[in-house]
Amino acid sequence: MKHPDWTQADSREAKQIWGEYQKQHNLSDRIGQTAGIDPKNRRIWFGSSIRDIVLQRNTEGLHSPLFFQRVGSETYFRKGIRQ
Amino acid sequence: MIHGVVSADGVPTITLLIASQDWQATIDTGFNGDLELPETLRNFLNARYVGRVTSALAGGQTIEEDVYLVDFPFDGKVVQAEAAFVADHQILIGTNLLREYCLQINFVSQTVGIERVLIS
Repeated sequence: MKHPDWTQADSREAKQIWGEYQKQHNLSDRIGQTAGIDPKNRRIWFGSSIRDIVLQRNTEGLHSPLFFQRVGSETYFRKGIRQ
Repeated sequence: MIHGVVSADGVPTITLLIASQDWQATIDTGFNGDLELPETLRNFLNARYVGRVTSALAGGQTIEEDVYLVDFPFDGKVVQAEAAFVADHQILIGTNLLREYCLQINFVSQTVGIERVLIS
């Protein structure tokens, strides 16, 4: 299910932004951290978790949705079930 | 300490009281997040949409899904947890929700114990 505030274009843009960022920056000391990518303004936040990033952005009055990545992993979650 | 059982089909399970109803929750050690929740619980947990993530499933598939912050009753308190909602009826508890706990699964006695070991 996709939230109405998010589009496929947002996902594509966020992944592109993240791909470019990884090529340009050494993230070896951030392995395991959470990255939150804003596809609208291209900003990236780092934190210990999704919740941590949300709290950081709350202090700036920012509430728009982000695309979350786990540094050093292809996916954010690993699940033990088949859907 | 939270007590549960290993079900007849070998699944570690605990019972949680949510919205005045008992819910069976599976401890999924193959899941590195907090929670996967039934859609029917969405309106009871103050779910706030925060964005999208990709998830790798056991069959090698990768999916993209919405992620929420929820207020989840667990171990006598309400914790803010990361959750995805699915059409299934089952609650899945992932290892990240248990990061301050020791999980013991005894498949012989068919018991589950979850004890907090990190005080923060």
